[in-house]
Amino acid sequence: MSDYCLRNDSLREEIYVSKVKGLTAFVLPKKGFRKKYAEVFVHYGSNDNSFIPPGETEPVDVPPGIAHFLEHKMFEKPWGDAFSAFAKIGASANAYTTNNYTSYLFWTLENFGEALKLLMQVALDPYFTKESVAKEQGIIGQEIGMYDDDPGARLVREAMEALYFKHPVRFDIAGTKESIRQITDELLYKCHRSFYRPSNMSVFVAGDFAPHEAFEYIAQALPDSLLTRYTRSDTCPAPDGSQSSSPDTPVLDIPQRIRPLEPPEVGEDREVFLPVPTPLIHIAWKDDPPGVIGEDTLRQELAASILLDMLFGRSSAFFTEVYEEGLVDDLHCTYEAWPDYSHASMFGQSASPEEFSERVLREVETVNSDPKRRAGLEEDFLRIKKSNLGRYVTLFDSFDTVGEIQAHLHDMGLNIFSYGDILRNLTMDDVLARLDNLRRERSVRVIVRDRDHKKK
Amino acid sequence: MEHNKETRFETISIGPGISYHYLTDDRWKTLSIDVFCKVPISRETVTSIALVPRLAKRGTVGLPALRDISRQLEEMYGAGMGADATKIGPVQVIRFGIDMPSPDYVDSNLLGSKDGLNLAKAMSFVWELATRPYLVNGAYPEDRFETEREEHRRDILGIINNRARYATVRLVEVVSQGEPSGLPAWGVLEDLDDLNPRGTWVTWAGALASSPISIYAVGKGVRELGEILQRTSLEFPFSRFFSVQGHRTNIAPPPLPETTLYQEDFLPGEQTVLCMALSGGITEGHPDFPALIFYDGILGGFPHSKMFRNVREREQLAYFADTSLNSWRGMVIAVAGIADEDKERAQDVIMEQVEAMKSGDISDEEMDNTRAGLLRRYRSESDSQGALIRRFLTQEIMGGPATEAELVSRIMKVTKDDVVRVAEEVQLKAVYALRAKEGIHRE
Repeated sequence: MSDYCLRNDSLREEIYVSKVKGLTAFVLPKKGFRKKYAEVFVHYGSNDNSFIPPGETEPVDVPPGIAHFLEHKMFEKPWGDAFSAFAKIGASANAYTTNNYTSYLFWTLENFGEALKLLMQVALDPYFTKESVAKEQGIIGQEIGMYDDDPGARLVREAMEALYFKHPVRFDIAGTKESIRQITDELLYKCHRSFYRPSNMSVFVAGDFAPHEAFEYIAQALPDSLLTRYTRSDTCPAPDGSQSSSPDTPVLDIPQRIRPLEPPEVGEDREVFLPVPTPLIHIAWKDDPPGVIGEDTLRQELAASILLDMLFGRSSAFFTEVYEEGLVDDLHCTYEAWPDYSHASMFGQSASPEEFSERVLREVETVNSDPKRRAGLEEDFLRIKKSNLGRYVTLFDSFDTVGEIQAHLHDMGLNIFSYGDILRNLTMDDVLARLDNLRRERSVRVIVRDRDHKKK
Repeated sequence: MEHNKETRFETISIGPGISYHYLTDDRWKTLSIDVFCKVPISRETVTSIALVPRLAKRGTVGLPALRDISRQLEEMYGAGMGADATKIGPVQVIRFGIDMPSPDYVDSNLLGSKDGLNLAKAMSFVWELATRPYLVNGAYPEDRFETEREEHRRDILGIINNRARYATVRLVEVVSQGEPSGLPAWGVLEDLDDLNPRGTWVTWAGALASSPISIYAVGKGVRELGEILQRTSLEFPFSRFFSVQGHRTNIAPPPLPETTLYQEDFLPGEQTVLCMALSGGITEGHPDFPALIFYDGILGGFPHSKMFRNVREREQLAYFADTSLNSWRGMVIAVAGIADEDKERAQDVIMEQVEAMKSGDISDEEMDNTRAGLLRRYRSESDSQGALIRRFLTQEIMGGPATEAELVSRIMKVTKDDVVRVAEEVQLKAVYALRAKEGIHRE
């Protein structure tokens, strides 16, 4: 039934993979659990604001926030509201949009097949009217207002705007109240038709299933017309003028994403005024994007995450120092690597954010230039790698985390078990390569503070 | 494990007022142990005890520095440590916990031994966090105490960074009308200044000696851990009272206000948050309590609820518009994030829904969807370690049903008439608005 099975013996986990009506499907059998989970991933996110639709030759620019807007609108159907339809059969549904993906999901204990059919309808059958678009502008306007008031969300948005000049990651996922006003039903149809194609989507299912049973549910949930919806008439000829396939063969091509060329430099530090009792700080470093999809991207992300933990984690000398001085309470570090952009981030609250940020940047410089400190990193590296390997084991307790990692890695030609292998095989050199790239001149600092603050 | 069989903890007593609840279940790759100390809320102790989890994480006798603890956790394959104070009903619940990967799944060829992944060792670590903090001359070290007091102050003040949470906290404060049992788990801001390192330790050691303690453990080997705990006796800083019972603390919630209370604060921003407290004095244990659970579900507990459909979808006033149920207070709290100029309109639309339920405007579909949603919630709890622990711990404190079968059976019996009867009792007790714009749209 499945094309192949991914497995790991020490974890005792298996993921079955198959193409079902053109859609890549993953099944994670989880014996003994009552909950059944399904998530549809569309490789389409807030970054995809400029693209050439399949079958066309001219690029289209769409307003920021449209992928998220589309996600909201997919729950409205000619027959009513899909949330209620899920509720009626005992399932709980949700959806979210990130920079690179849109996801639709539900979990249920009963009526799994019916709920999966509904989920596929939510993702695959668009229905937009002028009125319903106008209505959503009000609701999403409130959602944007909520993020505007949230100092943590503001911190991220301002940092991305400061870090990037051109890349669309600098725009908020939800867009702005102004940008979403430009969204029309025609634009929504265009985006849906361009990106919501089986070849650009996958589905992940987890629960107490036999794999063949799960694939059967998926096959039944998908309309038979799926493969023929996107036929040759949509596609452009190959560059040499030839047709890549015969007229009857379905063509599952994807739109061409256009990303502006992003310079290596970063913008100015920022200060934002919101009524917060303690200033919030975000330091972000722009790194070189790996440029290609695949193992290098993942290795870069894992190595950098470990590096940030080594330098600033709770077991670091640096953390103890700044904590005991009362400079900072909690620090969060993250690193994101995508083929076309990558950056490191650090978040915290500090009564003296300027001083704190200077200490952070100086710490990176000291470690980088002092051969003794550099050599001393090896022990921390092994310990933190061990800690990461342990967390890799427990992530398999979370259906949705496994699904998200597996779906994203599949699009990079990897899978969740190769994630474990790459983690195991990481070396100090991988980490040091990232350390060399944490440069002061490629960092930005954003501070959110109360307007009436007194500078220390 | 048969997945249709109900998942429940086995309980044994391991001392006066100390119970050990364990669940041997191989579905998860995570092992977890949580120690809960249940202290009845009082103004005198709540704030100092709220500092205890913070101070515990700074260092213990065996692992005196922050860094020692963090390194130890990393050596235990990235084990997670938890220490916090929450509130269940009238009880301040102080938790010390650890979760770690089960050694069965950790590849032994890697990075040395798995010896650190040992339940007894994990239990000692958690118990040390709870009972043997690093002290100097019988008190928390002065400098650590000062840092943690300051950070705790910032945490309390920082609640305002989340407007919806802040608005809910303020609404609860308004309806509590100064009653000590209504105080939040983090204590009282202005009491922080009066605390000192020695007094805080003495308060905590006293609470450890006199409060009921529950230990929850999940994963392979937890039964054996129970046997070890029965053989050895847990050590306490002050000798433990022999009269401590695990019984419930019978503290009544703050009396409900007789008339509707109104309160507003102004915090500049984009969004106004409207919060409303609804209650008919029906709490856990009352025969109509299951109908109140339905009331909450139909009004705002789900995306199929009246508030989502009317406040959000029909009137487009909000992105979030929902309710939550506080079973100890018997209170349904409605929250909506709206444009400031829509405040009156939103309040009217919410009250329309409240009135509709009073007049019996509840469809079969609303009843069915709510029942389905509740069933899904109860039945799926057996898949989650955290949800199971919360359910059993809440039952220990609040009473009411503990098993899934009991939870399910009581909501199967609820009819539309029951919900309407509850709706007739419900009154608007308080309205709180955190307003984003100053004085523009007001009288």
